[in-house]
Amino acid sequence: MAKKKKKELDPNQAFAPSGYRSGGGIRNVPHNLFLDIKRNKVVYILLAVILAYFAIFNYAPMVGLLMAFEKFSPVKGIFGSKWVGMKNFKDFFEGPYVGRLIRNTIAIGVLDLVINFPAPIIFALILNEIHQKAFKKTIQTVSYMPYFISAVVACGLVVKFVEAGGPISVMVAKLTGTESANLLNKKGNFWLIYVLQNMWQGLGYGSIIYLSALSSVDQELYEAAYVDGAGKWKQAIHVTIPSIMPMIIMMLILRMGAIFSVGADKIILLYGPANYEYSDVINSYVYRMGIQETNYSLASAVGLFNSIIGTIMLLTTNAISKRVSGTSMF
Amino acid sequence: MKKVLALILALALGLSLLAGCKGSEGGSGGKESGGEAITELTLPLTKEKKELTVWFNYSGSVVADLNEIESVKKMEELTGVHINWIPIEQQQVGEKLGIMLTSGEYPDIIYPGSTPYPGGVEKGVSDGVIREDMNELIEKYMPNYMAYLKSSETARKQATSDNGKKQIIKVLVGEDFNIKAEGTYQGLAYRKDLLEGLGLSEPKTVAEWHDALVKAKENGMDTPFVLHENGGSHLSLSWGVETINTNYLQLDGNKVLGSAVQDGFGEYLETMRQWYSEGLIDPNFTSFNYYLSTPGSVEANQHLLYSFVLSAFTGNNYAAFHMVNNQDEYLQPIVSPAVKDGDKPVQSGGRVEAKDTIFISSSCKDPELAAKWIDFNYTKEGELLNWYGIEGETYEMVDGKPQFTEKVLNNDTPPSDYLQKYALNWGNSWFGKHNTVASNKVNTGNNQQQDAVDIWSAPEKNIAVPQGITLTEDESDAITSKMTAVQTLISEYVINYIIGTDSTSFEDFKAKVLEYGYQEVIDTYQKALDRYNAR
Amino acid sequence: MERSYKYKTSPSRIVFLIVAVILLVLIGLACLLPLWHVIMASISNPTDLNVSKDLIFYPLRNVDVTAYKLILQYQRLWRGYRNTIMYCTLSCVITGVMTVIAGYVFSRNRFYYRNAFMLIISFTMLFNGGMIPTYMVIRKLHMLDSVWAIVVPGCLSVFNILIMRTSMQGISDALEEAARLDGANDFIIMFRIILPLCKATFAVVMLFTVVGQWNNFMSAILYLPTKQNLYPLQMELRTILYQSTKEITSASDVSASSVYARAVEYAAIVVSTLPILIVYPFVQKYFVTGMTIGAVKA
Repeated sequence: MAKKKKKELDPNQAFAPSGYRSGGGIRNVPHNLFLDIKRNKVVYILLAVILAYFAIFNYAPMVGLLMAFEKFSPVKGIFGSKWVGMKNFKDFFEGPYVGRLIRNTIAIGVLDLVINFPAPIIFALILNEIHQKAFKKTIQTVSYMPYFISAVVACGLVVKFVEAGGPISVMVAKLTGTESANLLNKKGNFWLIYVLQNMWQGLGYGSIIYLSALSSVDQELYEAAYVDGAGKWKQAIHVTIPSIMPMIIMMLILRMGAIFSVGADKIILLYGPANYEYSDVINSYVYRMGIQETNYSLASAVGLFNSIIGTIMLLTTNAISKRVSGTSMF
Repeated sequence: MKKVLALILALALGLSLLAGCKGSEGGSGGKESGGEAITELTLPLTKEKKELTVWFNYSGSVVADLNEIESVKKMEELTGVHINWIPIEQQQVGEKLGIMLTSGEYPDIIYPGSTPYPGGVEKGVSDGVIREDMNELIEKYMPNYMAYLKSSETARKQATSDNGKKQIIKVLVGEDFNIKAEGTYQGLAYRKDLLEGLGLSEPKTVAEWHDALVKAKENGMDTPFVLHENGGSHLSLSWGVETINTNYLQLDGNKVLGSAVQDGFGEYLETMRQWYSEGLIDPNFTSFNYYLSTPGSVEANQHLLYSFVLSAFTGNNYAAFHMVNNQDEYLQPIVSPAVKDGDKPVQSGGRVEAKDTIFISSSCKDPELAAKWIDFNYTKEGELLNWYGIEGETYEMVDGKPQFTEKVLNNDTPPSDYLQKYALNWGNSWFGKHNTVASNKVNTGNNQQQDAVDIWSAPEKNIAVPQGITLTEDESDAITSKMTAVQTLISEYVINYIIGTDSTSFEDFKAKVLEYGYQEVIDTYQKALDRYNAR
Repeated sequence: MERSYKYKTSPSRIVFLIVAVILLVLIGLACLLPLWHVIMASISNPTDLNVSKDLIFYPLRNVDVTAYKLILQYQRLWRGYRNTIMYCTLSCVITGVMTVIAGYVFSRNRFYYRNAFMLIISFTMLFNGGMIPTYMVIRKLHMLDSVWAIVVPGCLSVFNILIMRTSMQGISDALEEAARLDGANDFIIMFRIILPLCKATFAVVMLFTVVGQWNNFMSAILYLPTKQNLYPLQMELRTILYQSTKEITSASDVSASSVYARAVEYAAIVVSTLPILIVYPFVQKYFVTGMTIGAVKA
């Protein structure tokens, strides 16, 4: 840990350019690294510590990406394993199921985004309007509980509940006037079941970050709005939402980066051959492919593919956001 | 500026790359195995006290340090070898094995349980992890192990690689002090009490079973038949096809066949589809977990015929709940019923006599001692220690046969937990011999599980592909992706055809599965089988 | 602090509040019922539990606490608790300090290249080398089989940095300038002036850290190859679960434990989750509305 070094007050620092909003950049001030370092010595020292951390624990292991192009053998290591070029990618992309897998991955990713991204925000906003403290806190605490039920048990519950005769299946049957059936075996249901399951487990936990952002909204803004005659509605629209917008946009950008990497674990716990047509995603298929032995190379190839798509999505969203709202991550 | 940055990063990266890159030369350290061959072990194995490190698949939770186990203490006393154990839980073996191999430093002896060496044994040798001279070590210093292999042709074949050498040591399966294959330990079983309640005698053909199931349904059983969760069933053996094992490969003499393209497969599916539409099959079979669901479903009296039951021989619910605890709800094992008059029953079970692997690593300084120490686990004495513990404490010899003492059997703690303190192999490991009768003795005192195995193993015709066959690295490379596609297609078709959500004709399905590369998978396994037979 | 202004409560707002309360109650029930189900299931008769398809409101057939006995008789469990609490504490300190520093660095407007560097760091969120290369690095650092292998890798997460940064960006630069004129250095500004204004976010970072460490077992599998006495709680729970669910792999144990597999799974959730559920209400304390950040501006 870089320890505190007593520093004299540096007038240059004290009057360093300020007031620029993030992302805006300073286009008309000529800049060079040297000057910047001189001006922000401490900041750069701290930065060095942080960069060192990422270099060691994140960048150094990235040599592992080479495994995607090798037939990796743990004993021979990354530099000793046989180079196979694009074979791992071909193995996957030449398979007969690739179209279906990509479709399902995108569909589940998009559906999850469309439903489960706004849900915690709306939940947090509604909760924010409640001023009865005990009630608010109870709901808040209770809603975060499902997050701690392990995926195995949570998915096991869902599978049991939607079986013929299970409570959800019976409820659906009553509403639609049909006979109770195994809902997972009706192919098209899978996407919805998956997304709702995710919502149940993630709603409360996902809202924590927005609740914390909401709690630090500047009260002066409300006062000003009140003085201007804005009612509760107008305050919500003109004060509350804009105040947490940076957080919302940041979360959205991050989610876009992960849209293609629908995790295999929950899918595997929920799916079965009966619904493969709609439930099989890239990661679950690769899981089945590697099941005979730990196939690091294949997993690595698919991971790399997902990462590249993720990067494109993330940078695109970031750029769009920069243009439209003026807020962005970079 | 960006360039400077990139440079710094590249430097940092490069440095760490160098750091991450290790000499992967395993080298076969230690002295060459130049000593004289021995015909029996002399105890202690070594004059001065020596140590070995053993990487050991162990999942027991009672004992914190394996050297506290009584049998281990005793073995150290007898052999003069102190073991530094590295216990690894079964479920973590895969990950930890991969990681241990990367490290370049290997323990003397490695026992990864049922997890195979990644990429195959030959790769282990060429990687420089498994000693090249294993064959010589085994033949020279492991007289007890060799004696077992000489006593059984199947065990010898299963313990030998395709190149004719013994490149690893295998765990041998048997009863007390002998070798005996596990037999077919899974099959069909029905509820005897319920069938008798319907006033029926045991049906002998598929058609008779259909009538019995219909009658059961009429008499209030909602779902008299449970399929395996993948839509398979041991009932398919009646049509001579394998449907439980998702490789969908089977044996006909010396030929490997693809189960899913046999006519019997289509007939089986057609029949199941029919039964499903009649409401005879549990609509929730896709989520019927045999292990968890069976005991409760037996109590609920909703199922007459179970398509997949395991004997206590390896599984446990069957014995604990139906054959032992509750004789009234007895599950009667049966062989496959006939489709036409005169059909002979068929079984599908791998005759396994040699399974999990043990090997000595290239880092071992004293391979001769390591081989001798492993061999000790194949002696009568070693087997008794590993399975029965300490004489007078946990077992007594009665007519030359070991019997557990009352202390073990009637105890507050379950016997298998109690034994973890006394005998190494009760921590879910099968080191040396896998003694299949010891568990029966602990748990039941009767032989019903063994009876089930005997019934299922009786049919002359066995269509299971032998378990010991191995693919070469190139072969498994070449078919992995085809195999996944083929298995996906078949498993999807089986279930969807049965529940009626897919009506593709069997002919169209056959054409499609062959197009996906089924034939290449079959051919590859045929080659592997030929090599196995030639060992 | 409640806002003290009086609002005209319009009819539309009353409707909104009624709908909101109903909705929240429903969500609360949807979250609470499954937990109740888990607790009741863990003390149900195991055979009935294994076939049950319904939500369980009361113990099935009879109260059976064998699952808890199976778990609690396992002495290594307490060691697991102790280790996990130690990891959580250490992680909180390391992550706390590092994240505040990183958030501070990347939120300084006077630091011209902040976005470029942020991009470099964010890149690691998308690309990673996988577990073996990471293991090799940890091994080279001689951190294997030590407490540090569990708490140092992963102590800085891009996500935490980002939320910290976003929160710190909301604080006026004038504040920093004023402090500097009073002779404060970067560290004083960081920890004494900016951090207290970002308590809510900081509390969230701490919560995420504790929860992450509480559920972490992968690091133990990878980085504690021989030191079982350092295993965290989740590792020990996995052993127990595995013990009770072993299937065909087991020649031994025809004892009743396998029928308790599901009950043990539920009991394990109760045993491992209850302590961590208590954390959140403490965190909520820091979500105090009504802090007037702007007031200092003047």
